[in-house]
Amino acid sequence: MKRELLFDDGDRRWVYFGRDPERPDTLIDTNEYLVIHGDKAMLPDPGGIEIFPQVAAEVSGEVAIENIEVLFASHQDPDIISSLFLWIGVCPGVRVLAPWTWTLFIPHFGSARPVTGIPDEGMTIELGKSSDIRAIPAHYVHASGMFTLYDPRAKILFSADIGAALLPETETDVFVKDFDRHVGYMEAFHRRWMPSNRAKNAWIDRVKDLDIEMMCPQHGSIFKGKDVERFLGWFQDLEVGNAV
Amino acid sequence: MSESSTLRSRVLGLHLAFERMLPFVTEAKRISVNAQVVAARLGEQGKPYAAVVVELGETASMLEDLIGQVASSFRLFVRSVADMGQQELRLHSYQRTSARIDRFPPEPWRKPENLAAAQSKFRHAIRTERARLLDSVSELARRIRDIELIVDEIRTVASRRSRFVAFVAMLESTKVEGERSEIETVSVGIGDLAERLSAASEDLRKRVRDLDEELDKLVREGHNQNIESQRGGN
Ligand SMILES: [Fe+2]
Ligand SMILES: [Fe+2]
Repeated sequence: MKRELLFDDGDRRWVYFGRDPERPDTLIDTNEYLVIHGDKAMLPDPGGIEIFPQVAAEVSGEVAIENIEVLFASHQDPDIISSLFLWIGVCPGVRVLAPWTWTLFIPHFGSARPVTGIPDEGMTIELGKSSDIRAIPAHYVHASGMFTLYDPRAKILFSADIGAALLPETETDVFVKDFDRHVGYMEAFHRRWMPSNRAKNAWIDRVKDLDIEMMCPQHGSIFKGKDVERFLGWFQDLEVGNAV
Repeated sequence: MSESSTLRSRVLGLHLAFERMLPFVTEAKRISVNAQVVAARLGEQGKPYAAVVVELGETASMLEDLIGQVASSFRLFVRSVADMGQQELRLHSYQRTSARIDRFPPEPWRKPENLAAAQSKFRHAIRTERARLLDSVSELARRIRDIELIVDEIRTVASRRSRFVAFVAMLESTKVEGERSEIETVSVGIGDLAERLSAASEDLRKRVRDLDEELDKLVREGHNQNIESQRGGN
């Protein structure tokens, strides 16, 4: 798997893993992120069953596996959280956070264990001794209950499926290099998977004034610097919900 | 022990064989009701036939009861197989994780002490899952033996009791004038049902036996693997 250190100030670290060459092509590629504060860690959207071995092995090199404190599920999709029961098997004390709408659905992936619901308005997430990471509502963008994460310290916005791109195998860059070309890889996805213009614009309003260095989607390349603004502008103008 | 695709296909085969048993209950009941009707119509003359009617009714409800027992045992069995699926998935995933960590080339960001701790954690998880899986397989083996006993009873019903009833019916029918052909129809029906039930329960038994063998094999393999993993392998 590719690995990239996105942020490190000594206390807080963001590490990216993705583009696993051994991933079967029957699976959508997902990006994995590990957020570490002190010696405690959080996995936002830890991923599906199929990629657990890759992710768990990579994470093991970065942090003691029992120090994973939080599994955050932005929404209920299988590529987001179907690995839950595998994580619980090795991190029995982990806190599982998910939109309240999905707390009774996610355990269907195979874990008879309560999931803590994030209220509609969002919340701050405690990680180690820190409590600055925020779950920002992104309802209906695309799931009916959905959150993105903002870390003001790292200035990173974890955007889940927002900003996702379905990249051809030839595009292996971790970061967006050419925004205009990148639009070609994400336009169809956003038009089809995002159901509501009103919801999409409400999310843009929530994040547009945040200080963001990087926007990290769950699929495709990471937006950095000016490309974050470009993305938000492009997304604002996009008509979504094209299947009806 | 993690290779239980044979187990799954055998469970499916057993399920299909079991489903073929279900119509026999309705058929046995129908024949029993027919026999009652015929006996009632015979009045006084039907007296000697009454014992057969009672026997038939008892046989039908015995069959219903036994097949019901197989159904509920089988439901539990299938649930345990489904639970095992998750245990297997966990075992495979942890084995793959551990193998991957083993293959990691050293990188500056990979802390060897973390990797070593993770490796021992995953190896422990592998041992735990293997032990759980073995428990589940042993539990399945116990359940299948219960099912085997019930299936044996069904075979007895099919091969002895029903044949006996059919024979008695035929015997009695020869003493009765008039309604003979109808009694004969009933008794031929019973004979035919007994024949088919016998074949179906024989098939069911064979499948239960195969499954039993498969489970025994898995238990043995599981024990061996447990011994090996306690010696330090994966
Ligand atoms: Fe999704
Ligand atoms: Fe996704």
